[in-house]
Amino acid sequence: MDDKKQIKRREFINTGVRIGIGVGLGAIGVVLSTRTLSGKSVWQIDPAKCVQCGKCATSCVLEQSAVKCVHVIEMCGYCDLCGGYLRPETKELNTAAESQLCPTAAIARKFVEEPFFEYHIIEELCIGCGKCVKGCGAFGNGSLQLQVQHKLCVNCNQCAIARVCPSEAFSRVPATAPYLLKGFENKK
Amino acid sequence: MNKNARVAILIIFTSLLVFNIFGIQRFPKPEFESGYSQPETQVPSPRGAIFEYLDLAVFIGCLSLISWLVIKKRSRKGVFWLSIFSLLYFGFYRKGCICPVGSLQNISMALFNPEYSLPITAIAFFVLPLGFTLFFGRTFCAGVCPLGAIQDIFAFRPVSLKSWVQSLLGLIPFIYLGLAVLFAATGTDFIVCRYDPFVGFFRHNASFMMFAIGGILLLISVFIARPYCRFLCPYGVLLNLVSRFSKKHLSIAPSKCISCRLCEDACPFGAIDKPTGAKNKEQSNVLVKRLILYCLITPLLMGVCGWTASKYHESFAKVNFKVRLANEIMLSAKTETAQPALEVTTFRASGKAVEKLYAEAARIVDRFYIGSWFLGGFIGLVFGLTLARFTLVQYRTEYTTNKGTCFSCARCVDYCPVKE
Amino acid sequence: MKQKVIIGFAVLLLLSVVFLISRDLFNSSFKSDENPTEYNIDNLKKIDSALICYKEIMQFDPGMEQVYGISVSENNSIFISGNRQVAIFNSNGTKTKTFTTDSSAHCLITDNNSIYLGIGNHIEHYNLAGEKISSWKAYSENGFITSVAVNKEIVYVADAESKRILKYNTKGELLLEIGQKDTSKGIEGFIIPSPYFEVTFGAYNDLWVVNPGKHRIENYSLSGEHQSSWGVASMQLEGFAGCCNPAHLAVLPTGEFVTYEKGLDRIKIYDPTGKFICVVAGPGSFKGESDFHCTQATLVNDLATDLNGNIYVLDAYNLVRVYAKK
Ligand code: SF4
Ligand code: SF4
Ligand code: SF4
Ligand code: SF4
Repeated sequence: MDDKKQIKRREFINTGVRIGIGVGLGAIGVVLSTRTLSGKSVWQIDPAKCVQCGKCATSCVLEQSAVKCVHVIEMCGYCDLCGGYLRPETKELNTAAESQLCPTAAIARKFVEEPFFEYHIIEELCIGCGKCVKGCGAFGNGSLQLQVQHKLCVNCNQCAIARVCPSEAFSRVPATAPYLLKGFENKK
Repeated sequence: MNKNARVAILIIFTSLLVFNIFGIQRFPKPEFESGYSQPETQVPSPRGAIFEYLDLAVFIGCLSLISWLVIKKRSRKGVFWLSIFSLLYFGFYRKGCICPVGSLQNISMALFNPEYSLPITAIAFFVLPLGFTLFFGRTFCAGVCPLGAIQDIFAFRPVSLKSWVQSLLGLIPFIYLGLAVLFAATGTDFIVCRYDPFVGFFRHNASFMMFAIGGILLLISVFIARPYCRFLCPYGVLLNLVSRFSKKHLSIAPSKCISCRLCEDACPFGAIDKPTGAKNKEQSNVLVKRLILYCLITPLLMGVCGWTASKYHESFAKVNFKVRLANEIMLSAKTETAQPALEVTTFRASGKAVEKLYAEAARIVDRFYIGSWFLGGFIGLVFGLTLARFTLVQYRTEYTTNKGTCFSCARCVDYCPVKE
Repeated sequence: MKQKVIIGFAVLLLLSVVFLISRDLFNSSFKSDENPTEYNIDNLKKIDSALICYKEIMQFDPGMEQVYGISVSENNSIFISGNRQVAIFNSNGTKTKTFTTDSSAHCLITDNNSIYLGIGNHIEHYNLAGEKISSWKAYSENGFITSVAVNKEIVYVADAESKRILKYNTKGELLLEIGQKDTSKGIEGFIIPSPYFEVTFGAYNDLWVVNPGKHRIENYSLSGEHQSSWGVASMQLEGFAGCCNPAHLAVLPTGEFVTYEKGLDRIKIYDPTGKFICVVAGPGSFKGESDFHCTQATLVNDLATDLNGNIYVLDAYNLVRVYAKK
C-alpha cells in the first residue's frame, strides 16, 4: 500500500516537472523566434577594416584557408607596375618568380596590349595571406581584396579567424549578399 | 527521401552556385584596342538557405524514427543503422555544423544579448532533441548525434568504471556547460564549437591539436565507451536532466524483469541500475540524517564555489577579445619600450576612442564577475547534489536503465530473455 | 589487474584532453608570432634626413569640411576649393573671402584676376568677388577634370576620363586636344589608371603633363607637340613608386619640379631636366595613413607654389602646410 502511494506521488512530481520543462522549452523557442534572422547568414570580411595581418592564411579551421584574394577587375588599372604583383625592390617588371610578391605565385599576369596587363588570382594557389592586398591598397587602386570564399567556407558557428582578427573585420552578412567587396554591388 | 531525387536537387542547386556580381566601374577602363574584353568578377555563392531547411527536415525525421525504433520496435539493429546514417549525413556530409551541442551557445548568447539575432535552425536544433527527450528519453544520443555515433562505433572493449569514478568524471560536463554558457552569454566565444573534437574528422581538415584531441578521444572510446558523451558533452548534461523526467523510456525487459542478471554487464556506459536489497529501516534513518546534512552543506558549497570562481573572473574575462585588447593597450601605454602587439597598433590606427573601448571592456568584465558567481554557484550546487545522490537510494526490485545516463542505444534489450 | 591499468590509462588520457583544452582556452595573450607572409613597407618609407631640403614654415586649418584643390596667386593669395565652396586666404592664412559653388571643384587655378574651377566634367570661371563669369561646355558627359593650367590667354584642362589635355581660350572655346592615342604616329596617349592626371605650365612657357600610368612627366609645346619626357618607375627615391604616380605636380619659379607620390607619400624636388634633387617631406609628415582599403587613397590632395619658391601642400585631412627651402 505504502509503496503504491509513493510511486503515485513520484509520478505526480515527474509529470509536474515534465510539464514545467516543456513549458520552459516552449517559452525559449517562442521568445527567441521573435529574434531570428530572416534568412541564412554567412561570415565575411569588410575590406575597409582589414589590415592584411596574415592571420586569415593561418587561422581558418580549414588547412587551406577559406579566405582568398578576390580581384575586382573593374577597379583595376591594368598597370604594368602592379603594387600587388611585384616586389617593391624589383627593377625589371617581369613575371620572374623573384620579382613576384605573392609567396605562392598565385597571381597570373597576362599581357593585354601595350601597356596594359591583366591580373588574375589562381584560387587554388592563393592562401589568403593578403600580401598583394596590402601592396595594391598602398600603391594601386585597391582592386585586390580579401574575401571569404563561400565555395570553401564551412560557415562555422563561430569563425575561427573572426576570433583572432586584430581589426575585427569579420561579421555575419546575409547569404543573399555574401560578399563585401568594395566598389561593388551584389546582384543575383 | 529518394536518393535519386536528392541527387537531382543537388545538381540543380550546384549549377546555380555561382553568383554574378556587377562591379561599378570606379574609373573608366583603359581603351583597349586589341579587342580585349574585361572579364567579370565572379564569386561563388554560399550553400542555399533551402538546404538549411532540408537539414532540419532530415533532423526531425531522424528524431522521430529513432524514437519509434527505441520505444516501439526496441531494435538495436535499427538504432545502429540509423546512427550510421546520421554519422554520414550530419557528420561527414554536413560537416558536423550546426549541431545541437553547439546551438546551446547560440541560445545563451541570444538570451543575454538582445541585439544578437540567431538563425531559426539554431533554435530548432536546440529545442527539438530536448523535446523528444522529454517524451522518449535520450533517443537523440542513440542515433541522431554524429558525435555520439562516431564514438559508439569505436566501443570495442568497454570496461566498466567504478561508480565513484563515473560520478567524479561526470562533474566535468557541468563545469564545461557552465563555462560555455558564461562565454557565450558574454559574447566572448563559442568554446564548444572551438573544441569540438570530431568536427575535424568530419571535414577531413583541422589543426594538429584538434586532430590529436579527437584521436585521443577515439582511442579512449575503445575502453571507456563514449567518453565525450559521458564526461565532456555539455548538451548531454541538459539531456540527462530532462531525460530523468521523460514520459516514456526504453526499458530493458519489455514486461516484468525476472532478475536473471543476463543484462548486468550489457551496458557499455554503466547505465544499468541493479536492484537494491530489501529496505533496511535503521540504515534509512542514518541516510536521512546524512541527507539533511548535505542539504545544509550544499548552499555552503555554492557560496564557497561562487566566491572562488568570482576571484578568477578576470582570468575568464581575458578570453574576451575586447578585454584583452583593452588590457594590452593599457599595458603598452605604460611601458613604451616593447613593440606593441599588432592588435594594439591596428586599434590605434583605426582612430577609435580608447575611452570607449575601456568602458566596453569594463562592462564585459562586470558581466564576467556576475557570471562567474553564477558559474561557481552552479558548480557548487552540482557538487552538493552529487554528494546527496549517493545517499538517496531508490529501492528497485528490477534491473532498469538509469534514465539520466542511458543513451537508449538498446544494446541491453538483446540480452534480455523476456521477449514480450 | 590488466583492466585496472587500462582504466587508469584511459582516465589519464581523458584528463589530459581536458587539460589541453583548458590550457588553450585560458592562454590569453595575443599571439604575436611572426607573420610569415608579412609585407613590410615601412623600410621603403625610410628617408635619409640629409636628403630633406625643405622645412615647414607655416600651417593653417582652412576651416572647411573637405578640401580638394589649392592655387596661389602672384600676390600670395591662397585659393582653396572645398565642399561646394571656394575660400580665399591671405599669405598669413587669414580667410578674406568665401563663396559657394553649385558643386564641389576638384581643382582650381587662378590667373591673378579670376579663378578657373574644374567642377566634374566642365570648367567654371569666377571673378575674385565670387561671381560666376561663365560656365563652359563639357567636353564629354562623364568627363572628370583633375587639373587646370592657365597662361594669360590659354587654359589647359586635364580630363582624366577622356585621357586628354584640352586647350581652351579664356572664353571657353576648345582650340586643341592633346594626347589622343594614335598608333600610326607612335603616340601612346596618356595612361590613367586612376583619377590622377596633372597639367601645369613650366617656367619657359611650355606645358608639362603627368602620364601617371607611365610614371613619366611629358613636355609639350603650346601647340601640342610632344617634345621630351623624364621619369622612371621605381621604389627608389629617384623614381616614382606605385601604380599611377606622381599624383600631383607643381613647378617652382626656377623651373624645378615638385612631385607628390601617393602610396609612399613623398614630396620631392627634381631639376628642370628631371634629375632628382631632394625631398620636401617624406612618409609620416602628413596626418593619417594612406590606404585604399581605408577609403583614404592619398594624404595630399594638391600642391601649389608661389613666386618666392615656397611650396603649398593641401593635406587631405584639411590642413594647409607651407614649406620653404632650408
Ligand atoms: S585576420 Fe582580419 S585583418 Fe587579418 S588579414 Fe584577415 S581580415 Fe584582414
Ligand atoms: S599574395 Fe597572398 S592573398 Fe595575394 S594572391 Fe598571393 S597568396 Fe593570395
Ligand atoms: S567560418 Fe570557418 S571555414 Fe569559414 S573562414 Fe571562418 S574559420 Fe574558415
Ligand atoms: S539502452 Fe541499455 S545498453 Fe544502451 S545505454 Fe541504455 S542501459 Fe546502456
